[in-house]
Amino acid sequence: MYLKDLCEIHGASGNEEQVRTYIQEQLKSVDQPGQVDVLGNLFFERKGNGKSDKTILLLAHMDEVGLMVTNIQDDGLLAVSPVGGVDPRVLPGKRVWVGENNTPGVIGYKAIHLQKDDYKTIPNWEKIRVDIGVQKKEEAQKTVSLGDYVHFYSAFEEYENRYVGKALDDRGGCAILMALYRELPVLDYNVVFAFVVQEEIGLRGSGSTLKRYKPDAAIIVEGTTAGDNPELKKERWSTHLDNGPAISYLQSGYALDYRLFEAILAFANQKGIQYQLKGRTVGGTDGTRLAGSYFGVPCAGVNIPSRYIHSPVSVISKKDFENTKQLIADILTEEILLKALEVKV
Amino acid sequence: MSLDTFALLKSLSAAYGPPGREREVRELFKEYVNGLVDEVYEDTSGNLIVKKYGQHKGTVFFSAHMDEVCFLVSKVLPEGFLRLEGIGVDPKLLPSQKVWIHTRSGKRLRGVIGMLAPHLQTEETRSKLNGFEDLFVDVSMSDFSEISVGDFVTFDNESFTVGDFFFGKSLDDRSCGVIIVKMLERLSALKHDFDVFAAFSSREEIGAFGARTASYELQPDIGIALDVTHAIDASPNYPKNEFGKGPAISVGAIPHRKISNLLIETAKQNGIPYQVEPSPSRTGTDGDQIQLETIATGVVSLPLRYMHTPYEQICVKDIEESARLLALFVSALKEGVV
Repeated sequence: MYLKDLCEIHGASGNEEQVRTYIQEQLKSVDQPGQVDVLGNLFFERKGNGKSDKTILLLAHMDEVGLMVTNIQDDGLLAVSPVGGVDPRVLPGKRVWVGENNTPGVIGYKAIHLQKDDYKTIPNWEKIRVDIGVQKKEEAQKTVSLGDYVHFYSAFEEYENRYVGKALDDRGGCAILMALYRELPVLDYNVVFAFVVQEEIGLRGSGSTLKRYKPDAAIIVEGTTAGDNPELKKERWSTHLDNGPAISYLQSGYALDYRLFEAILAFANQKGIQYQLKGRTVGGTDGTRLAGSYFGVPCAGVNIPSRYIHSPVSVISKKDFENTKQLIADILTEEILLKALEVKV
Repeated sequence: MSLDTFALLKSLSAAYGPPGREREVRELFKEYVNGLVDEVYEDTSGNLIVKKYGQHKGTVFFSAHMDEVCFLVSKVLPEGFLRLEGIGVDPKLLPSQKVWIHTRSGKRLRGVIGMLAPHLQTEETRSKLNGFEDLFVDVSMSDFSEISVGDFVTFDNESFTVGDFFFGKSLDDRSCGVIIVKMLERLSALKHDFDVFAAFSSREEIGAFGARTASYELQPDIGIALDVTHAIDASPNYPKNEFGKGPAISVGAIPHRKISNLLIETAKQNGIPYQVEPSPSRTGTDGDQIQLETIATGVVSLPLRYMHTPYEQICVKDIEESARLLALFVSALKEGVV
């Protein structure tokens, strides 16, 4: 299963090699080996039948959030800093993998019995330390180096209605693109499938897609925030699990192309496909980068609602995952985006 | 053939056993002591009691508790969320933690303690310490209609080994149960005048009821509580218990001076590494309860780091050295020692 495999391999921003290799291995048998650019982005191109010279880009990012070793202390503990947006409060008591050899470690936390004033203070980066079961710096240095990536340890789990795992942002998007690349027939126009690097540290990878391809429109497939839990008032929810793919209209740094947005909504309404509007504008996606790079590409955002992203355990709805894939497949086969772009902005 | 310490720890760490619900742990210990003792039975408090007879010149009793820290479901909310109350757990460990919900019907269901993604945090929530009034468990992936208030919830994790170190949950205090098993193994090859009793005790984490009732029933001459103590992280006013340097022997009010001295003497004579732990007041172990039954009590502790977290850490060498110390201690006991 693509999604399970993708969620269980490691690839924090700048360290996407395992993810890239996996995707390339799985897809190369279809009809081509795929193209890798200098930053590490991976592309597969499905040429159209020649009736149209237009190109649609589907894009998902391969990287996940994680940690990096920034200091090896004399007592053998490792100091770490976040790679992407990680809240230190999700870390105490969790297991991690350190470095290329997957050295096991835990983020230990001082026993409750020994805490005094610090019982009332939140964990911060000065308190988060990774313990790899050694007592001295020299011992730690045998297996760990400064700059080593640290990834969350989290087995993927499948339930009747849910998937549970790390990195669903955005391996869910990657899995959908992989499935679509396999399943989609040859269309009148070209489709580029881009698996990009370094989204989580500032949308670094996606822009270079436009150096290679000249897409007329793009769909960004993301695992997006949910927030539909008791912590948050319903009015402030971003999306709600089981309510279908989340279509976004405006996000951090970019108002998504209204023609694409309206066309997707009209299409879904007409077909009776379940969807929801993302209730919040927080969070950027590679759409922001694509719209602002080179000639600028009109983008749409079709997202998988995801709870607790950027933590070791996130949760998505199986139904939403399937419906997101199906909605994008239908949008492509029925040429919804290209028709929409015939209207002037 | 000697039992593999790592294998015992792995099974024990994975077992389910909140206070008063220690059956899984008890069954494991029952299996491990098979062939090592003369008598095995469960008492009414849920303790597993074992007896290994010597020459009937006196009785010495050991206690290590089987139960673990845990949570209880305090409320079932709509749409598959739960609220929790904790028993001995720091709520700071909980965000993004996988847990098991143990239903009254005997099912084990998945739960995920979620936390709002950073994108949805506000200035106010970002710096907030989430207590049990804020934390919630997502059980939307399970058939949560079976979950009810009062169900026990435990950490889900996967123990692992690095060299001599073992990381996992509930090593407080099942690793000390392993010390008893390893001590019994060693005693099979040693002469001892004293009869040896041991309790794999229940309900320590909510007041050490198991050790109290077991010592009342058995009325031993000497009682030794085996528990864990904090390794590495120490108050500057106390010595730092280190890994690989043997058990920590308590000295103070509750540990009987004769017993502490005998333990230290035995360690010295046999070249067994040991550390000393000053206990000016209550020890926070089964020992506090054993003493109340008018029993000369000793407290021997295994150094453990990150106590009451999903990944507690111990050094397996310390288990072996503790077992060696206690076996030799038993074998040295003579009639009228206390």
